[in-house]
Amino acid sequence: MNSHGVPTVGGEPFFYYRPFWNEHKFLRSYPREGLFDAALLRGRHLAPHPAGSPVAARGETGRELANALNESGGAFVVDPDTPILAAGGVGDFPSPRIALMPHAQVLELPVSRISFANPSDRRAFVGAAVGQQAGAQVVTAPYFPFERRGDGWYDLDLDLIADARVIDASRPLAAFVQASVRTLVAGDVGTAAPDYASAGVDLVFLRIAGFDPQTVGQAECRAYRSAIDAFVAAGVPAVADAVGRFGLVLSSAGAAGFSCGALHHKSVSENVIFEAADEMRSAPLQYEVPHRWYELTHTQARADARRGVLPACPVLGCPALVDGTKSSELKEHMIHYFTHEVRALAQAGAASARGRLTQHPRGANGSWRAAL
Amino acid sequence: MDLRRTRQTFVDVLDGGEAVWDSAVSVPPERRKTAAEDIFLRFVVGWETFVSEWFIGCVNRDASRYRQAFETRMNNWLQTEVESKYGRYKVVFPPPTLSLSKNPNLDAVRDLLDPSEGNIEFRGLQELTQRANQELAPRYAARTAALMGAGANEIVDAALAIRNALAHRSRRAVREMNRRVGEFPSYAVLRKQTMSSDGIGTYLNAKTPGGEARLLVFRREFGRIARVLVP
Repeated sequence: MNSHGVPTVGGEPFFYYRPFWNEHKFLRSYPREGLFDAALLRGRHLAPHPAGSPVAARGETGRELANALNESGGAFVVDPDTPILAAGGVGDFPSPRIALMPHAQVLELPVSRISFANPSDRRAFVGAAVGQQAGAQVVTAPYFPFERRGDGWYDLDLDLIADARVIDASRPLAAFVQASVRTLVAGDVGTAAPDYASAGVDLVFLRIAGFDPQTVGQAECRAYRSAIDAFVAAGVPAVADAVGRFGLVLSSAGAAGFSCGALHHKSVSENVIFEAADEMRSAPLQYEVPHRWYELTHTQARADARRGVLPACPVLGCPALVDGTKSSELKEHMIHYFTHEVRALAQAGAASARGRLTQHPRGANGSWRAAL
Repeated sequence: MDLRRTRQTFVDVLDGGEAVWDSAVSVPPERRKTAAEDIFLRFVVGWETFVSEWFIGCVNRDASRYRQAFETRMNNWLQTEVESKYGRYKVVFPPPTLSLSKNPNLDAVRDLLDPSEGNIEFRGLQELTQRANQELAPRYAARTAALMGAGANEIVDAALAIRNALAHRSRRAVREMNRRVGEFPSYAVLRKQTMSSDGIGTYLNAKTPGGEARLLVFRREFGRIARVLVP
């Protein structure tokens, strides 16, 4: 990492934890006590709660996640959460907080490229997005998905990055690069790398819409690796955003890290409105089995642990499998494992990761080898 | 000319069309498609009227670039004509000047720009931008250039092509419409590979993933374009 605590090309990769909106209690204590690189917070999860909502009535301001991390000393990065602003209007949003993000109130929604025809409107939009990032480790520019290098949205993304640089030059600059699987496979994510490097970006988060690591094929995995390579070659550390444990594979091959949540953000949906609706899911958390590339129910994991057939968490004293533990310990364990393993695999290298992929008992995730 | 009033007239057309669309929510699907086509035609006619009036209004407010462009064109013509017919005489004469104040009255501008009393027609935003660069004061020309830079030509050009396909139903018009609608680089929600002239109502009535009819996407973007031309 550099002096700002940001990952570098060839340095130790990071695991970015993407919390759910109500995990502030967990984040108020955990980063102080356990392995923790940084959190990746969605803009909507920092927006005020609607007036009259039960949460607002409890006195929550909406800044609880950021405040909790400031309190516990945990670093965080803000995802400005802007693709959804081009996908629908206020009535389409699955959460009223989206429209309450400061930058969602600058321009009529949904935004289009014409919304940014006036540079002063564009700068006001970026200024509002940056204004939401007080206390964040890096400043991040608003962004929109593009289809091809050099298309209109792509050029707008570069303009937004330039505006963010001007508005806040005191922190490292990070950018989100969002594109579809088709764009990834066509090579347009990788060919974008020199432009992002020229824009002065210190870190990128790659978001590949429609890339589901659990169902993806070899061509897509190979293309993801090529995109990472292109950014590394351009001198820009690239984090694979919302990819679940596939991020371990990419990090062994040069990615600057990866992100996911305990239950959500394990892939990026092609439909940003649907993705947001998917976040409403509340399935029980599962236990991330170290070194085996799968997860188990808490009950099954405890049973397997009692039988001595479960690999241990790399952090001694991890409480996840102790009787009576709850979901927060499962989260802790996942962060323990990913934070530890992302470094271990990066150090061991791609060849070692290829060998370790065979440890899945049914040989699943075989296409991931194409990334190595 | 009050450019804001010109814009408002266009916005009123857009608002009126949207109100009709909203009121047609419960009509049978076939009639709703017809309504979509009719409202769309009103939008495009409204656009053509607006942009013609806007151009005239811009010259009315500042004719300096228009005068300069006319004088350059006239001088080039004169030089060429004289050279071709009397070049051997080595004639020297001062360049012609157009007697036109910086703020000519509206009737004078209409007579100059629109002597046949029709609308000034632009085949697309590119043509408007080129002509604005030649004839309008920089502050107005910059607005059309900003729109081109923001991809507004996709909306304007596709809307004109759809209008032509609706009005003419010719194979050429349908081919041009499909070319425009099949591209739409900045508007994936408006993109469709092929449709016949009979399918336009279905196309306009179809909902985007955000849940609104494509017709209303055109409506919103036309409104935005109008606000860029007249802030």
